[in-house]
Amino acid sequence: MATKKEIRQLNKKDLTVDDFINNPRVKACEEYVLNNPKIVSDVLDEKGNQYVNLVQKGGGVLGVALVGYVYILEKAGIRFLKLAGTSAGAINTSLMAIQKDKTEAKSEYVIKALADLNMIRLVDGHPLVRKIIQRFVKEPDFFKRVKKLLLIVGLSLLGLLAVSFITLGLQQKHSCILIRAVACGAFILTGLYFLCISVVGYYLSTLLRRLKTAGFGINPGDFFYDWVKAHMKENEIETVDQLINRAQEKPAFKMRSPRTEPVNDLDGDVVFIASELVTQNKFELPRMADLFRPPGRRNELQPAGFVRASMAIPVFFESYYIKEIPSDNAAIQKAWQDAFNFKEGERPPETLRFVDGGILSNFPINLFYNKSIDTPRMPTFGIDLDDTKEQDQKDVPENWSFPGYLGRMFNTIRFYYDKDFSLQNRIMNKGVGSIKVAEYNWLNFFLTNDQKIDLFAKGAEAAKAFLDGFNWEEYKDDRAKFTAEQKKELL
Amino acid sequence: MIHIPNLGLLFCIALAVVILSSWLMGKQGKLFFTKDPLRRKFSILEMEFPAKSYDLEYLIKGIYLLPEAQTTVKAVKRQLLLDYLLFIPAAYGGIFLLSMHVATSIPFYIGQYLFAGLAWAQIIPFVLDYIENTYFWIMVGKPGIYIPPPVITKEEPQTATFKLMQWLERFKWGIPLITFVSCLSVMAYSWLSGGF
Repeated sequence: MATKKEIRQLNKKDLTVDDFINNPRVKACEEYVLNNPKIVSDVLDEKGNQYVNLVQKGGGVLGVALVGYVYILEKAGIRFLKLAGTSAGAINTSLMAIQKDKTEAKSEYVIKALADLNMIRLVDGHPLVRKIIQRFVKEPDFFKRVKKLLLIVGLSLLGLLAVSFITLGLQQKHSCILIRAVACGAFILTGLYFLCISVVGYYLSTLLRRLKTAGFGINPGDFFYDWVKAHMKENEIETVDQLINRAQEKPAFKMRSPRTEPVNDLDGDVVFIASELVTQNKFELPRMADLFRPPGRRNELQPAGFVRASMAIPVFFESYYIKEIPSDNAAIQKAWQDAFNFKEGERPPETLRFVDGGILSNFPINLFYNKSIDTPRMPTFGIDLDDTKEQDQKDVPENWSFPGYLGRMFNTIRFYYDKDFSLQNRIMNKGVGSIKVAEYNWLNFFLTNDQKIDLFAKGAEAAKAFLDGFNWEEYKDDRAKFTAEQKKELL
Repeated sequence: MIHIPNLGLLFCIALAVVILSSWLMGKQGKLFFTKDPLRRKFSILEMEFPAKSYDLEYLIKGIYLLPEAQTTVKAVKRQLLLDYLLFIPAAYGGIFLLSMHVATSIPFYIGQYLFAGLAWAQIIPFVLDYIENTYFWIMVGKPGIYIPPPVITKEEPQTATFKLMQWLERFKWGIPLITFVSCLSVMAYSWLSGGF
C-alpha cells in the first residue's frame, strides 16, 4: 500500500512503463500466471505461444484497464490473431494491430504510448469547456455548486440594486456628499455587474453556437486523431492497405498434438466498430472501406480516421466525417447493395457521419463467432469493463430522476444488441473476463498517475482471475454441445 | 476635460454611423464561410476570440478549402474596411463624447477626472482596433497560411502572437465597454435623482 507521500510523488512525475509493470499488484499477477501455465488454445506458433482472438469493450478512460488485462494475457504466453474493439477498445486494438510480428508481445508498446500520453490533451475543446468538464467529472456535487454560485450572483445583484435605490432615496432627504457619492458609485457598480453578467451570458451563448457549428461536439478530437496517426506512422502504417496487410500477417502455426486440422485458413484481422448516423448503420472498419472509395482508391482514406470514428463519443467529441464518396460509381453502389441491401441504382450518401461505435455495439463479441465450427481451434476472448455501481441496482425505479430515467432507457437500447447475442450464444461468455471499475468515471480524462496505475492493476488482476477460471477443454466440449444443440433446433 | 459644443448632435451622428456600419458589416458577415470540418458560417468574433493558438490559422485555412473562398475573403476585407472607415471612429468617438459629457456634468471631482481619463483612454482601443484589423487583413490574404504540425508529446503550445492578441482583445473590448456602461450608470443616476 503506497503512502500518501508516495502517491503525491507519483502524481508529480512523468509515468514510465516501469511504473505500470513494476506495480506490486501487477507483479503478483505476472508471477502467478508464470508459475501456473494454462492451456487456452490449440493453435501454437514455433515459440510455443498460444493464439486467441480478442475483443475489447469500449469505456472511455477505463480502457487503461484493458491494457493491464492484455499485459497479463501476454505474460501467460497468449498472442492474438484477430483483434476487434469499440471506442477505447478500438484504441487499444489499433495500437496492438499496427505492430509487426504477431509472435511478440504488444502490450509494452501500448503501455509506453499510455505512459507518454497526456490524457488531458484528448479533451481538446475550448479551454473553458475543458475546465467545466473537469469540474463536472471530478466533483460529484458540481451542479449543486453551480446552483449555489447562481444564487450568490442573484443575491449580490439584488443587494447592489437595493443599495443604489436606498441611497438614491436617502439623498433626497439628506443632501450629504457622501450619500450622493455612495449612490453614484452603487449605480456604476450595478451597471458594471450587469455588464459582467451580459459578457458571461454572451460568451456562454457563443460556446453553445460553437457547439452547433461543430456538429454538436464539444471537443474536435484532432489531438486524438494526430496521436493515433503518429503511432501508425511510427509502425510504418500510413494507408488502409498497410493496416489491413499488417493485421493479416501471421506466423507459422501448428496445431497442438493430437489435433491435426489445417491451419492455413487462419488469418489475422482487425475490426473497429463505428456507428454511422446518415444511413443509421453499424460499420466494421477497415473491412468496409470499399463502401467509401472504389477499388484501388481506398488508400485515399486515412486509417487513423477509422479509430477516430470508433471513439467519437457523441457530444463529447465531434463526429468523424468521411466525405466525397463517389456515390455514382458502380463499384461503390454494388458495395452498398451487398452490405446494406441498397436497391440497384440507389445512390449512397456522399458524406457519412460517424459517432462512437458504442452506441450500437460496445462489445462486439459476435464478430469472430463462426457458427459452422463444431470444435474451435482457438477461443475468442473478450474483455468486459463493468462499471455498474451497486447503488444503480438498489435505486427504487419509482424514484429515478429524469436524467437517470433517460440514461437507463438509452443504456437499455444501446446494450441490447450485444446482450441479445450473448444471451443467444452463452458459450461466448466463457471467454469473457470482466474488470470491475465502478469507482471510476469513464469520462474522467483527468486521471492522476496513481489512478491510471490502479486501473491498469485492476485489469491485470481481472486477467489473472479469468485465466484461473478458464478451462479450454471444457470450453471446447461446451462449444461442441452448443453447436450440436443449435443444429438439432434447426432441423 | 474639454467642453464640446453640439455634443448631443455629434453623439447622435456617431450613433447613426455605428448603426449604419453595423448593418453594412452584418450584411458582409453573411458571406463568411469556412470548412471545419464541413462548410459552416463564422463571424468576425471567432477571429477575434480564438480559443487556442492556431485556431485563427485553421479558420483561414478552412476558408481557402472552399470553392467560394474569394467571396469570403473579399467580404472579410470589406467588413474590415467598413470597420476602419466608419465603425471604429464612430464607436470610440461616440464613447469619448459620452464620457466627456459625464465628466463635465458629474458633481464629484474624482468622477470628473475619472471620466475625462476614461474618455481619453478610448485612444487605446482605437489604436488597438486598427492594429487588429491590419493583422486580420494580412492573415486573411494568405491562402497558404503556415500551421506547424502538431506535436503530440509536448504540452499544447501557446504562441506569443496568440497571447498578445488575447491581451489586445481584453483592452480593446474592456476599456470601451467599462466606459460606456459606467457612463450609462451615472446618467441613469443623474436622471433618477433629477440632476440633469
